[in-house]
Amino acid sequence: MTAAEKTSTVVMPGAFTPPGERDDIRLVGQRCRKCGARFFPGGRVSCTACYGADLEPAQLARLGKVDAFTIARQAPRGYYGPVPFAVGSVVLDDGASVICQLIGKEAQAWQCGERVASYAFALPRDPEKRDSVLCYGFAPATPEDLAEQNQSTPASIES
Amino acid sequence: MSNAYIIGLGITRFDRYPDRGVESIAAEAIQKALADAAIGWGEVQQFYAAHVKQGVAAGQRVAKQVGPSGLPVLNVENCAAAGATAIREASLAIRAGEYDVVAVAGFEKMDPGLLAVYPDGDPRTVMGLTVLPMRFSLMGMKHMHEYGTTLEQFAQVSVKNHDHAIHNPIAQFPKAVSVEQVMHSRMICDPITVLQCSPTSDGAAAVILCSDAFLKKHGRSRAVRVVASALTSDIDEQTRNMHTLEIMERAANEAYERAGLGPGDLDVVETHDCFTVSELIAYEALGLCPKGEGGRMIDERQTWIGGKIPVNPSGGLLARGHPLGATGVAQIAEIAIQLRGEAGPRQVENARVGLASNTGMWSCCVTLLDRPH
Repeated sequence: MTAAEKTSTVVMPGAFTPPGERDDIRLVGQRCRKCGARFFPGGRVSCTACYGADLEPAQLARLGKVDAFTIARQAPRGYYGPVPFAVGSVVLDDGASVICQLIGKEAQAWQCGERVASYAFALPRDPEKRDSVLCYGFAPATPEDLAEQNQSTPASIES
Repeated sequence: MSNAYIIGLGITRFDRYPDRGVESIAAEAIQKALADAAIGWGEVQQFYAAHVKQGVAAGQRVAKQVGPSGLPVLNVENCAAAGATAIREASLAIRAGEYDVVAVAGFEKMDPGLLAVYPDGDPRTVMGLTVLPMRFSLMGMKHMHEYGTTLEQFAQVSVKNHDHAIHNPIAQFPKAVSVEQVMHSRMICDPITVLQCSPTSDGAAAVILCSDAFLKKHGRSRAVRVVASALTSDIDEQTRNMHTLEIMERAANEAYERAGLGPGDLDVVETHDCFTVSELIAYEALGLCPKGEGGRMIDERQTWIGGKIPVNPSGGLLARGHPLGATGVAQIAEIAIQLRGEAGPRQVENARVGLASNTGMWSCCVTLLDRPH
């Protein structure tokens, strides 16, 4: 069962595209029409690079690499997902930077510099784990992810 | 323009006080500071109250506890940087000529467990992204990857600060720990183990600040001068991909420039070791060593008392304790104690210029102090 079949509630509405068959998603942030910088999450009034105010919603690159990561060994208050879990800072191929969970393999097995792709995954949002919500994260990029990326050139990333 | 001077200071023991209200803890520190300055509460022209989670108008509640006065009260919330921020605001008011003598107190009675910054149900909470000390863990892991910094080097910061705290009568954990104990304590968020996290603490610290005119009239030979201060906030942590202490570097550089001083002029430093990683990387952000050499500094014991530039002679947040609003005031008070030459067994020899660096989410306040000739 895919994450998207488990729940249709999205943790941050509008933050990513509807999941594909493999739970693959594209994050949706903003792009500055003046300097071209992309960033996540959206909802800002000025560009984080040049302070330009002419911003548009933009789908971000699916692939990126892990810039830094850590392993959380205990659950912070209000978090009901599995522990330990990995949190990473990912720099996407279009320059946007995202801090979120790294999923799809053992938390202890991550390395800086690994190639990753964006995916939806489900996390519970109540202590009894009755209710879950679709979240965004990055998993190791599969050959399929890399092949898809080769078909879409960086220029076509713009929405 | 007048200078601002610290003419009195008081700190309670940092501990857990289940049976005392925060007002009583804060009032104790203020009374000690007033006695140290040899002035009365009635002479204080404004009271700055630094705290983070002590409820509405905590400063007014504290002021009444100290004594009837009706003086102006300003509450300062700036997360864990509240204390130094309040002293900065107080010193600016004196420099501007608005007041001749003011009091600043930082105080906190903390809830148990890790500090919750975002409410339950916030997307960041649901996704586990509010886990502490994630921000410093990412910094530490990146530092290890880029510069080869080791787990042992981070652990040594905790060993040093616990060792320093043995000689600080107000410290919460004045006992030695070994590098093995620190490294093998429970892992919280890699590379940070539980003995590399500052504790939850209750406590208060207070200082009395005055102008040139008041100092001349009052004549306190132990006065310490606030030479310069700078306050910065985070530009945009996520989008700029900053796993560094850029906010501290910027604040330090601004303060150095205003004071006409540089890192080479410092004799003693108190920095915000909320976690070991934040102290080791602060060596670089404050310019005490080049980028990537923080690990070498701790290996060579340069930041121990007796080393080239002692850092956190008080024991720091790790061992003195970290009552959020009190921390920045306690840091500056420790520098003042050191510059007065009154630190006893933890005294840094010939300390004339000191720096305190107080960080919160997501601000940093750096203060430079000296002993006027």
